[in-house]
Amino acid sequence: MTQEKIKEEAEKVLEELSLTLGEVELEETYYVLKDLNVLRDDGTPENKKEFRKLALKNTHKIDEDGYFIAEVGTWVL
Amino acid sequence: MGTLDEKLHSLRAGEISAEQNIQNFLDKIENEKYNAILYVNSEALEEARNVDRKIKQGRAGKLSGLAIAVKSNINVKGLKTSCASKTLENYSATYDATVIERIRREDGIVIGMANMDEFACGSSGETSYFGPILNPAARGRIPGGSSSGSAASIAGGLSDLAIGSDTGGSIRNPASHCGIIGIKPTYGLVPRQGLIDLAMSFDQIGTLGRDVYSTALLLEVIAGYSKREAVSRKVENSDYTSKLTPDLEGYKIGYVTEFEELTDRRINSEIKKSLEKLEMQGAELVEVNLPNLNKALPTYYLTTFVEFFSATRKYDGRRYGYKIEDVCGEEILRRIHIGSYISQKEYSGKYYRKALQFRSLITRELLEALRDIDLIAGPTTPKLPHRLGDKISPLDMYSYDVLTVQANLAGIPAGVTRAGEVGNIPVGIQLQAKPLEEQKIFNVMLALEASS
Repeated sequence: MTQEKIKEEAEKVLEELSLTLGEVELEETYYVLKDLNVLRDDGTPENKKEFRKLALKNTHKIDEDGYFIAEVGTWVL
Repeated sequence: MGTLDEKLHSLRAGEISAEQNIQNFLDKIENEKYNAILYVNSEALEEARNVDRKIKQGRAGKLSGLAIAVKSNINVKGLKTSCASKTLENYSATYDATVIERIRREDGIVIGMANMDEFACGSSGETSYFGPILNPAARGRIPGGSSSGSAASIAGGLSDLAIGSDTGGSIRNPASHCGIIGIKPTYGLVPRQGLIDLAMSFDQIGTLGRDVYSTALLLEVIAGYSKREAVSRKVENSDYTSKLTPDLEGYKIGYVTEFEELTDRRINSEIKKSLEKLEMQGAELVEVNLPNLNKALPTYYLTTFVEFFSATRKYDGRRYGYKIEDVCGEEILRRIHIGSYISQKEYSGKYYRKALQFRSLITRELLEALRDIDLIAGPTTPKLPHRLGDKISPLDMYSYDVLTVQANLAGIPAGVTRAGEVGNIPVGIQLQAKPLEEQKIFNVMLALEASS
């Protein structure tokens, strides 16, 4: 299926779903739980030696100092 | 095949070793025909030998060498966590998700990574980049999704237990189609840290198994508060297995007339038989209504599109993997298009914020319906699984979720167990309860298990 066809179908799906919803005036629910656990205790982060090695295995390129090189985004080319 | 309770006793008594148990599953996976397991854990046998040593020393944990299949959107250190997408086909997890740490702590062994619908976006098991998953319980039919490989691994005898994720029915739908047990816990009961998001306000990790005892056991291992989870309930201990009872005396179980109207009459007939069994075991049946049930599906999808679009923005291909839009399947692209469209400022009030308001309405209505009863029982999907490969429209695909999404919108627990079958196709009964009342769901499942 072409990109255009998928886009067309997406718009149709959106319209059909939104038509089923009528109008309602209520508060908005983002999360069913209100007590978000967003603060953490102070402390030294755990040093996981394997993490760096495993993370670098997933990257596209690594420089001579062992740091990964991010590709340039297509939007800046 | 004995129950897993019996197998655990044999493992602990040394009648079979964890190594033998794991080797048996590895042999089966090597020759499997369901496309259920994408990657095998190459260290599983070594881990099993360690568990055998602990068993001999009398210090093995609750899972004592059981084999667990893990959905490919849950990070397992060193294993490919691909979300069944080309986008992440070469991505190896750098850490264990909290649930995996908890499984390892209780000596469960990750046997492998299960196939799934791409990025959990699907209800059929047909959208994986690695090919569709087959249904071991209904030949030629879809297994359901998106935790398709997790369910197929249980139904096909490729693991003792499995974990999956459920955003709008992704554990319950395949559990129903594959004739096994699955539970989506209360939102916030199981830490999501390490789960790759579909829609973070709905996603929950849950368990799948062949019997009630083992499915409950795995849930009690992975449940509980975690400080690494942003939305976590302060529940320290969920001891379901010791409180399991099939005695339903005093239980009030609701059935929803609107469910019946949306569902195939052959499925309704199987559900009715299960309700009669529950009544015979002491439960009182009560009629309840959910007048806004038809709003649940659009509310769910309009919210999910936006959350999913946001979750996929990190897959730009600049540091790892591929840019998602360049390599993903049709359903992913469709959801990204819709999510992007809705996220544009001028449309936010029209779709997304309206959906958030309807979420309040549906949550309120469902909790109100549950107020004076213990559970709601009903069908899991409105129709039987279609034939693998049959082309259906996106909206027809989404409609598989019409009976499951309310539990995610309201954050309540919901489980599925086998009710019966229609022409050799399994049909599951869905049980929904108030937040943190998973025990009641397991007890009703046990009553049905005992009566079958």
